[in-house]
Formats: sequence, C-alpha cells, structure tokens
Amino acid sequence: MMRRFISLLPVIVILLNLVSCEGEETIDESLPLEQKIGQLIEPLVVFGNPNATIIGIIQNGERSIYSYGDAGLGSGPPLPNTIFEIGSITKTYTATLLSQFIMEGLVSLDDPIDMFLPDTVDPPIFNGQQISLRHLVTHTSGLPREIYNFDIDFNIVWSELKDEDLYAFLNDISRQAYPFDDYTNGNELKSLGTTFRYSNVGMAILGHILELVSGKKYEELVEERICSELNMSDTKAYTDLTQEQKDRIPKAYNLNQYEQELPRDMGAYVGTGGLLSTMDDMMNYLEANMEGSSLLSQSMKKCHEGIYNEGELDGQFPGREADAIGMAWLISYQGSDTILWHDGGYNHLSYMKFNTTKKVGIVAFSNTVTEVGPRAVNTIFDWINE
Amino acid sequence: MAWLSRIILIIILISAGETGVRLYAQERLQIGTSLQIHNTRMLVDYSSTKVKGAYRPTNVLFAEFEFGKKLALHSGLGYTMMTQNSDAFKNDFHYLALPLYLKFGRLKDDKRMAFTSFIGTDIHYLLKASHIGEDGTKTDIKDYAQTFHSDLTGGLGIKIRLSERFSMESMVSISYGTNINEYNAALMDINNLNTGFRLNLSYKFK
Repeated sequence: MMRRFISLLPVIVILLNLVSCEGEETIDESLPLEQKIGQLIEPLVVFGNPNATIIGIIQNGERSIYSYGDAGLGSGPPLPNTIFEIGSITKTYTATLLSQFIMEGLVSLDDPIDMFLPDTVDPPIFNGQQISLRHLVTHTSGLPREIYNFDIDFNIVWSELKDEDLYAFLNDISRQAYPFDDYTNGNELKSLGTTFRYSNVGMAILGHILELVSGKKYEELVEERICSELNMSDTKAYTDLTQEQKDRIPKAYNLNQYEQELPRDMGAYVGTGGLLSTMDDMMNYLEANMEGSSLLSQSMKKCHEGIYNEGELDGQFPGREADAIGMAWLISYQGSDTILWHDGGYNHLSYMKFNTTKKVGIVAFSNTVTEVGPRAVNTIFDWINE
Repeated sequence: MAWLSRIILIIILISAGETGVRLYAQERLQIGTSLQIHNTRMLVDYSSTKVKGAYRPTNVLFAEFEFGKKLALHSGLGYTMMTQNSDAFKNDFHYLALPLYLKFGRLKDDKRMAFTSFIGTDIHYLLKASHIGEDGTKTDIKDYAQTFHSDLTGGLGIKIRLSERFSMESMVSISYGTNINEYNAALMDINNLNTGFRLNLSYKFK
C-alpha cells in the first residue's frame, strides 16, 4: 500500500495543481452591461490591477459612467471630476490642433519641419528629403522614441525639458553617433515615411511647431481651440491646474501597487503626453470625435482618416491590432466600421476607443499602470460594439 | 472540479492514516508540530521583481513516516496565511494547509544530528479572504479567490536529537504557487512566492 502510494505521489501532486486551476469564470454575456462590467472590473480592482478605475461609455447617444476601487481621495471610487493624466492621448489633441491649422491654411501636412524651426536647428534628412509634419503625426519620422537614450533617467529629463532641448536633440541626432546609431548615419536618417516607430519626441516637436506657427503656448492652443468649445474646464497641463484641481488627482501606483512619485510636469514634452483631464471632460471629447458638425469636430474627423496602412510600413503598430495610422489615432477597419483608439500611461493609465460608424465609444482611466486595464477595456468595448 | 479535489484529499488522508497505523510497530512513525514564519510575496503575473512582502505564520500538526534508508513521507494539517501587500491595500488569505512532502535525510538512533531536505506541495483550502483598503475598510473577497490552491515547495534543514523520542528540526524553505485568484477573464493571474523559516518538533513512536 505504501509503495503504491509513494509511486502515485507525483500523479497526486500534478492532479492537485490542476484542481487548483479550477474556476476560471467567464462572464455571462446575457447580463446587463453594468453587471458585466462589474463582474469584469471588480475582481481586478480587488487585486490592485488596477486599484481604482473609472469607465465612461457613450452608446446610443447616452453616457454611462462606472467607477470602482478607491481613488484615495476620501470619496471612494473615482468621480467623474477626478483628474487623471491622459498621457499619450494628449497626442490626439496635438493632432486635432494640427488638423485645424491645416484647415485654416496655416500649415500643410507635407511642410518640412525645417520651415518652422529656428535657423540654428539642423534636423536630420533622408535622401535629401526632410521630415515633414505628416511624418511626425504618424510616427514615421524615423526619430527615436525618446529625446535621449533610456540610459539617461528620462523621468527627470522629461520634467526639465525645454524647447532648446528639442533643438539640441535635432542637431545632436544629425551629428552624433551614439546613442542614435540605430536611427541615423551621420546626418542621414535610416528611414523616413516607411517605418512606423512610435516617437514621443517626434510628437513633442510637432506640438512645439504648432506653438511657433501660432505664437502661443501649446496649453493655450488646447484651451482656446478645444477645451473652451467643448466645456472642458479640467483639461490642462499640470502646471496650469489650480490647487483645487491638483487635489482631485488620485495617487498613482505601479504594477505592484507601489506608490509612484513621477513628475507630472512634462516640460517640452507637453504635446506628447502632458495633459490631464476628467471623465466628464473626456466624455465631451469622445462625443465631439464621434459626432457633431462644428469646425472642431470636422478637424477631429480629419484625424481619423488613415494616412498609412499597416502593409505600407515596415514597422508594426505598437503591439496591438491596427490596420492603419491616421493623425495620431490607431485605426482598425471592421467591415464598414472604423474603430479608432489611443492609450496613455505614465503615472496613470488612460484608454480611449470608439467606433465612428456605430457612434459607440469608451474612455477609461485608472491610477495603476498595468497591462490588464487595457485588456479589460477592450473586452468592454467589444460588448458595446456588438 | 471541487468534488474531485475533495475526493483526492480524502484518499490522501486515509492512505496516510492507514499506512501510519499499520507501520506504527516498525518504529518509523513520527508526529509533531511545525511552526513557520514566511515572507509572503504576491503579485500580478510576476512581471516585476519589486514586490512588497509580509511576514505571516504557518502552524501544522504533522506525521512523518520513514521508509527506505533515507526517505520519509511528511504530511499533516494546519493553518497558513498569505498576504498581497501594497501601499494601497492588503489582501489577506487564510488557508487550511495540507503539506505533502518527500523528505530526504534521517536522524539515525545513534546520531545527534542530521541534515535534511524536502520537496513537495502545500495544498491550501481557502477559509477566509479579506481586502483591507487604505482607510482600513475590510471587504470579504472569498468569491474572488481560488478555493483550492497548491504551491510547489522545497527546503533544507538540520534535525537535532533532543531525547530518545523527541527531536527538533530547523529548516529554510521556499514555495511558489499560481492562481491565487479565481477570476481570469482579463488574463490576470496572482502568484505567490514565499520564503520561510520553520521549526519542527517531533515525537517518534518507539
């Protein structure tokens, strides 16, 4: 009996491990949306992934907001006016501003950036061809992801970045090898308009060019041209927030729920990821992107048009499903439907996705930077997009 | 699947008990108590190494049957606790613990000390699970945690004779388990890695 038991021991151990994997629940698709979202998000929040989250949905012309976890602001779950970093969704604001400038004839998509920058700046070129606004807004400029190599503490660099640093970067990348040898050969870019390479610094340069063209700060442009029209009083760069608004920002946590203390002032990176907003404001932004006939909405819709299809570019879109890139937006085509999305993540996590054909969309914020949040939001989007 | 795991547990208990009783006369059966303090580290998907730990106890009453020249089968029943610790909240998990180990190294009758080691599994049955928020609010999260959960475990130690029948064993151990959480719709998995120190006090039937 004993020998038999010993010989069975490994089998028993394996069986027990298998048994411990039981119970991977699936969500009953027939449940009302609110219950399904609760079943999806609440367990994630329990395990801190994310710790606090708020989800806004526009469907059939109606808005719904669902909130979970503890924002740590004394009021439990995040509120519609809780302020989160929208991170890289800021790029879609930059693209909207560019679209307006194009509609107003201030710039053209194919204008070379050399036209707008000071004479002291000598941007890299490719076969005699200059980087254009089109390249910057579609991440096809061939520029690196960040202004400097990640060996440098970019958390510090970002908050201290000045416009002059962007100029120095464009000059340096033309003249120095390391750390730019993957991107340039002398003053020649290794690619231009042929490879998708997500570039925060490229979008920051675009934001700054809009400042140079208009003679106004990026934050002013966003306020005057987007936020004031859409009644988005809480959408600003960190440095422009009042203390009352700063008190509405929840603490941020990393994947393992350690509190993050990263700088929120993005300096010259403001056009690539420096805005903060609320769910109330972003619902207005989402709605304006999907519906409306104002000049602002028209400029947004221009951003939704695919500029490069995936097959035309060497690089893949950033690890996610996309068939094309428009002006900042990643685009998927599903039959006759056009689906656009962008996410953002630095201290907080943000995600925005919508179907311009069906007029359904979702915005999500969480105070925890995690891979799980976007996956869950995609699941919810699939439910509302059915 | 819960019924299957219960049947397996019953088989293990009956087998161990029956075997222990039958071999009592062969002077190879020991019983004892094991006290352990372990640093429990739980996180999502183990995609980062920076995890906040928490020291938690395990207390098990065990039986150990020696066979062969150096091997022993070790099993028992007790209580253990694990915690997902963070700056924002704590998740406490209380388990009924059932260790099932193969032990190497035997303290012979004419020796005072022996080196020992073990490998095996710790089977856990969830008794209670709580989420404690930043403000101290406690929420029952038993429904979100796996009822049964098992860790692979191993350890090294020294066994010292205290008297003819009593001995004490101090051990360091490590265990790893997955699927702490029940819910996996968003491809989230909570794992645990525990490192511990334990003291076993055992009585050998002669």
